[in-house]
Amino acid sequence: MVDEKVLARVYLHAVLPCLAIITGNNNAAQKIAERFNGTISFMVGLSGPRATLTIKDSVLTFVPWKIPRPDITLFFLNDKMVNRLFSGHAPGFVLPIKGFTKINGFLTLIKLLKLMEDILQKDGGNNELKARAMLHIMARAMAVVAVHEKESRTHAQHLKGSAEIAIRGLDTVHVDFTGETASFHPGNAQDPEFSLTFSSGDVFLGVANDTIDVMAAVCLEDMTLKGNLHMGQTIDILLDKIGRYLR
Amino acid sequence: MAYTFHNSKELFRRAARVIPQGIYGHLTPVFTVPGSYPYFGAKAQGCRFIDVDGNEYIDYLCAYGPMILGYAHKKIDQAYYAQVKNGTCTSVAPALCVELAERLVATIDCADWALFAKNGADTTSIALVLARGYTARNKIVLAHDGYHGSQPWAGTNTVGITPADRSDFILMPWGDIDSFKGLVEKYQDEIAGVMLTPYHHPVFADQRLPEKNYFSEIRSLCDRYGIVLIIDDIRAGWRLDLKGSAHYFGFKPDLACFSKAMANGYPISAIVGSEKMRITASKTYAAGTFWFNSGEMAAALACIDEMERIDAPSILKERGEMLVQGLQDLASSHGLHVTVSGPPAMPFMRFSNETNFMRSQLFCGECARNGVFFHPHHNWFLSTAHTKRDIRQTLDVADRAFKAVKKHFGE
Repeated sequence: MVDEKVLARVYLHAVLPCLAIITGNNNAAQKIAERFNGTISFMVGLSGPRATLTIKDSVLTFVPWKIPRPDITLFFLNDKMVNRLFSGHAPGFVLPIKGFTKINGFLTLIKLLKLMEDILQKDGGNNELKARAMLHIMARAMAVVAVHEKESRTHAQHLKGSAEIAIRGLDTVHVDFTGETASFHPGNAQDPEFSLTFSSGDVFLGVANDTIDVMAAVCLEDMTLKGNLHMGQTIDILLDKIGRYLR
Repeated sequence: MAYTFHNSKELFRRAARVIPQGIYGHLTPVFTVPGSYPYFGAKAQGCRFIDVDGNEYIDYLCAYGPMILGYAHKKIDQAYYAQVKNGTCTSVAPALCVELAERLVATIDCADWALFAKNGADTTSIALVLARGYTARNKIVLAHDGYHGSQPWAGTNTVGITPADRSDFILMPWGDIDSFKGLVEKYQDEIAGVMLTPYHHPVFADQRLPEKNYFSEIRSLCDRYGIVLIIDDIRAGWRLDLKGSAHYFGFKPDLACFSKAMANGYPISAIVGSEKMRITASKTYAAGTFWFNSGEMAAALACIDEMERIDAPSILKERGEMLVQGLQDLASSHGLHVTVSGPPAMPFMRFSNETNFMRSQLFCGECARNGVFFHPHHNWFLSTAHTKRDIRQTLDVADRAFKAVKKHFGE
């Protein structure tokens, strides 16, 4: 059962930020991003999640809140509208309540989202970029569901410390859990409670796409688990939940 | 020279093509330290086994409990083979089942009758049925992090489980009598049974022995509220006290579940019960194709005889104490801090200054690559086949492993 409120947060706070990785590592994305310099804020209802993308000289940055006086504000009446936009349905439902004339920024965003979808979903492309983007999406989504999704929250409240996830030679991220909160961070954790390392981007994508036997992969050392494996079991439950949301 | 695992890996590649997970369940190597542990065994004798690469180990997992007298024990194996020559799975019940039930009733303190099955999980599931049948109530109280098998109700699996599978189960902290009091007051006419292990032996955590009055108070609350007290003695059974771990801790449950060490590795389990549960048991249909196999019953009878003859619990305690004391002294000599919990026959060691088990993983990995099979996250088991010489050899290996921990972590 997918909770639309949680899904909207996953899209805004886990999927959207990964546009930064896409544009930083893909020529086509950079060309699209060149067409707009400015800030785009996202608002869902009066009390829903917020986010802001800044595009400057084709470099994207993300913050999970609305900045003062953005160039464009996209207002979504409810969570479902966010989810329709990100799942490729009916972008017209969104209301640019500010900067209506800056249609160029909005079109840039839509094109970038479409390109990201192509990179993430199509086979045969740049698997390293796909794996890095997916790594960030999954780790960020883990922080979201751990706090906002009811069943995941029950599990995550027992998690304390950092869970580090790495793809060897590609990228490392970590999520800090306090029992009540969970936050995403790029890079290594200082003293990880649990670490999970994939031997390659392909192995990571195989696990993310549910096409690899994870337990066998660990035994064959295509994946390495270290530290508190009890925490690892809970992380596995959260990743499974994320899979259901992003399927 | 430290062990390598080429053949284990190759065999595992084959396994992974035809067996989901390659090796599944409690024998999965995932929870050891893959890369430092063998995956497949070739043969076993006494307290040792040899893996498919020819590496030999002193084994402190004892097949996760069953091997109480040592692998390939002559007396037990002879009893088994003598019986199977006369047929093992037959169209009528074997005469041996009466003898074994009588033996269990005579040996186990709380037993007035016995039913047989194959695995521990069979008996914990039957216990729930009996408790519910006896009380005509639905709810069962379990302890957080207690292990009673991999059945949907037991909570160890997350795949394919529906809320209904666990809807009548209430969890409480093991050892906390006030929690149990609160639950029986809240659900007094709804609780059919409480199932507990005789002491708390979770994975990834210290083991806890019961405080002096814990079980007497549980017993008294169960009596007052008409709740069936079930003891899951599958893991601990026979190692502390041949009369049952409940007897060791000074109380009588209504039902008790046994398996693992009951036949020194042959597959058999038993649920025993008090007189008050007999009629409910007599009305219950419980069956499994192999539950009356006579070979395992012969092995169980021989195993109980042998455990009684040599006073297995006292040997296990003595050897366990030697191991535990040795490990504590060695850790201390390296300036390391370890906590050893649980009874000496089934100890669990972790490093006191960490929660992530990284020191334990390094320590156990080093031990495994040098011929001592410990587990970093699960309690260990002693067998009566572990000699003082084996333990001294173990401590030599542990000394080097502690040194590696000291070098890597500093403290």
